Amino acid sequence: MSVRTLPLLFLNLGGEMLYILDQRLRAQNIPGDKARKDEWTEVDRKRVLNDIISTMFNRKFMEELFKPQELYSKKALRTVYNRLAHASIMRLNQASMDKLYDLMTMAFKYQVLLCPRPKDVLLVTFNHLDAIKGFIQDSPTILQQVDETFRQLTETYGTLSAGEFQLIRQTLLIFFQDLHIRTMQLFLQENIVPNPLAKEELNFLARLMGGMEIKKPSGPEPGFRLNLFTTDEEEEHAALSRPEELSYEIINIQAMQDQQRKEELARIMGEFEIAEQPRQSSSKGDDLLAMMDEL
Amino acid sequence: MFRRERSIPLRGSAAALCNNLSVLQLPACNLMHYAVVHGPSAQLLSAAPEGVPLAQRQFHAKEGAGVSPPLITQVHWCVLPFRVLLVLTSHRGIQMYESDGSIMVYWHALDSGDTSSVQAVFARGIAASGHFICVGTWTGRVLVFDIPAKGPNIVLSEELAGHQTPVTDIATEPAQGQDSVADMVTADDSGLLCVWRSGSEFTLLTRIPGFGIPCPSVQLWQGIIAAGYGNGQVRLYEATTGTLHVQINAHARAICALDLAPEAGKLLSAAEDTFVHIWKLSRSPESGYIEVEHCHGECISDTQVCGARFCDPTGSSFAVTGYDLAEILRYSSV
Repeated sequence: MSVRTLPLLFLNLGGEMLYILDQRLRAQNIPGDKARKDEWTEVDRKRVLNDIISTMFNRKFMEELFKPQELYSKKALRTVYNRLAHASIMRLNQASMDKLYDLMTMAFKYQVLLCPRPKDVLLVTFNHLDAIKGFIQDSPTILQQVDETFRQLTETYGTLSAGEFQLIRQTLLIFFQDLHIRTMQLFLQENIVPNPLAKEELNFLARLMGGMEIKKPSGPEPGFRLNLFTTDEEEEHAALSRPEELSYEIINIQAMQDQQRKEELARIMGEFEIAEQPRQSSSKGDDLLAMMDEL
Repeated sequence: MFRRERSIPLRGSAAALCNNLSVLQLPACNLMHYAVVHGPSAQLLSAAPEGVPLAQRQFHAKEGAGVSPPLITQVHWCVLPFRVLLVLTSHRGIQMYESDGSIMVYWHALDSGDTSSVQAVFARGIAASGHFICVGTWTGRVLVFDIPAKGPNIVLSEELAGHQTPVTDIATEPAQGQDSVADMVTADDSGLLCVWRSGSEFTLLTRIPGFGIPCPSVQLWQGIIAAGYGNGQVRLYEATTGTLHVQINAHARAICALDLAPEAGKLLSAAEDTFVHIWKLSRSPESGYIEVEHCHGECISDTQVCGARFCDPTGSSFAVTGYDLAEILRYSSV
């Protein structure tokens, strides 16, 4: 479809993500002087948003994004947001990350559906960028990055015809087709059967794509975890009861320090026949993900 | 008055494309055939008159070069003098099948040539004209294929240049037998309409300029061009001269489909505002001016309509598809 859709998709979903995180961090806000070591303060909230926004609007990243290209696969896009959400001290459990992504996607899908004219998608994007500027008012360098993106958006989309915007809107709607997640009711009663081989495959893929320097979590996470649910129990329950068809299969990046795991992987690799092309979806978004690793 | 009939379930939901429903009625075997685009696949199904689904078949766009599975832009039956072919257009090319979809008889790959990487490459807009099938492309060119009475010996006979922006839809009607009578209209993303006379060589008779808004759907009946626009307007033009006769602010959002019931002169318009309207076209006997009368409006609640067709030539029943909807909605008059 349209090869100019990705920047709009990425920026709008990113904007929604920041709205939600900002809200959630405020809800868990503790006044600075009263906070314990592991609780959120106003300073922490601003820091998290600053970190994520400056990662999102990194110049090289944006340049890559604005090149004419087809949309990423859903899996690749999900992985990008997973990394983005972890660009700072904040940590999200799987269930919270899933909920965050569900909310982001459904909110933007709804906004695209409601646009009276296809060109209004651009206005929606500007709205998101305006809100993002509001989050980083105290940081002139990041503000400059966002302004640069504003300029790039105007340059790329300002002269497009109504017909081209209609194609962009159709491309977005095809991407969101069949996503019907009830964002208010995320508790469902089904068991998930874990597939250990699949997990190893994904870890292996992650290594191929370029490892990231994430400290391997050992024992309780150090401090700053954000919960998208109201209690820890709810979050745990959501994680256990998420139905298979809604699992995003994000690629979990973990430092390969476990000797046993290495051997296991080598054994599995030995059994793989390299007869076919690598999965198409892993080639898309590769460069972008690799770039994110260097940020 | 129309009442809602039993819906026909689809395997996959309908994609948010324009003109996303094609209907073929074969009176001989009293079956209705429907075709809907899902995205990278299209579905063909046949149903008994009461709507009981009987058989279904799925098609995928032929791969060709490229990274991701190509998307289908349109699927449409072409009724020719001696055969019926099912045509599928995608971001790779044009596929033609026997009417039941059993055998692919022809594949034409699109040549992206000098196209900059910024433009999307695709075919869109399908219509039969005599023993030709005309298909539009992203460059604005219309490909004319010569179809033999049977067999796969299909040949690209002509490329029509008239449009500068991607073609959206093509409409034809049987030639009236007189000379220089328009029997084909092509529309594009800029709203421009080109009016043609078919033949061994197609002739451009006149152009009707757009006004910056896409024209996603167009119909032709007895020398009357009905065009639906992205601002919800339906305009009726005299085909031979290109003169505007009627302008209707028919819908609150972009029109996505138009259809015609030739025996009754009924026009169906469907738009993203969830409404389907039926109009009666006629000509004033004294002046010859085109006249239109509103017959019926149907609200398809909470549905972004993407395709609509009459199910019979008198316009007494119609079918509708909607984005994200995995069924074909049917209505018939009481």
